[in-house]
Amino acid sequence: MQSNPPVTAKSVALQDISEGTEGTRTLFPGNLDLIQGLKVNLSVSIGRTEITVGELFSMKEDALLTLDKLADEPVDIWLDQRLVGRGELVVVGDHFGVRITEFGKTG
Amino acid sequence: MAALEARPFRLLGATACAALAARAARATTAWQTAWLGSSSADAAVEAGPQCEPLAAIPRRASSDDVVFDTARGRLALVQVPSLRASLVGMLSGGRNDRMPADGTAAAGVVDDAIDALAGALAGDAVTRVPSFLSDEAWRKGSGAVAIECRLGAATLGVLADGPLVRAWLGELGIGLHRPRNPQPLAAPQSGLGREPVEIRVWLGEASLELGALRSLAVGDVILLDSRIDQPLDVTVGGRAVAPRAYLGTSGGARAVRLGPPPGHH
Repeated sequence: MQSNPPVTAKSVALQDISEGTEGTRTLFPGNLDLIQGLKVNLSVSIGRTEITVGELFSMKEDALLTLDKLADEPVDIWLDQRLVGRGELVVVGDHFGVRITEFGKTG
Repeated sequence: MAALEARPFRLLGATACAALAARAARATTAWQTAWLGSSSADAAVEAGPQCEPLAAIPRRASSDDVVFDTARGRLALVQVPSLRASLVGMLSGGRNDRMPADGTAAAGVVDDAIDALAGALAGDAVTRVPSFLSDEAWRKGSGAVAIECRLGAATLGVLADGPLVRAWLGELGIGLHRPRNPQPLAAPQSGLGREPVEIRVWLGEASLELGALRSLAVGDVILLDSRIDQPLDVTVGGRAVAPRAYLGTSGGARAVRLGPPPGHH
């Protein structure tokens, strides 16, 4: 059996680096390439309406709510409460989908 | 909700101040009649109450000032040496303005007169206490008052703390009562009836990597997680709610019927 070479182990003492100030140059200047793999959620809204609290609380089952969009108007594409695009409502198999008609620049 | 240290802030209006001034005037007049045998112009009482003792009489803690404990609060007499000298003059018909030595009968009479004055002002029995008024009495909004009285040659500051003032006002029937015909209270939510709230209907979501998002272009199709035979999600004021929306049209516009959540009977 071959014996391992002797190993010398030393303890590590960490230096206190709390002193010092930050520089002014940005380290990651909006570099989206760094986070390509980040998962984001797009949400698609077909419309909205505004009612009063009184109307909300008196709403009955099967209440009809007319939205602010015409039937053939584009739907809105949202990313974290920001409207980032619009598109046409489509069906893909048995799922809904959106064909993009406008999309904001991602930089 | 986090516990906040709160103290009452009491406002004494002009009516209360006038009533307190009149009360002080009656008390000092009665005291003068009893102790000086007169309520003549020579010993006229002019009482001018101030709502905020902080402004009226500078805060100080002097051994010359006297604090009395009453059954209902605390009362302080400020500038007592000047009152003592004035009393000596008044009791001796103005012929002697020298202060009597402590422990003499004359000094005892003067001290008794001051105690009687405190009793008259407080409206009940009082006990001398060595300390000055509590810190609370000096805080704005504590409900304490300062009343300035001219007694002969002396100007006497009378400080009454909040509890004593409230007791006085209770006697005078001022400020401590609820409105006689209070308007009935409404449920808080009834005040929200006209507030607008946004309802938004969501077709579905798609999860994709940022790289894919950046490459999206006009004409691309995003596949959503929602099936065409399932109701849609609804948010009210930005929050998801249980009722589901069944998509359709009404008068040319998109519309939904709001139904109970799936499986709800």
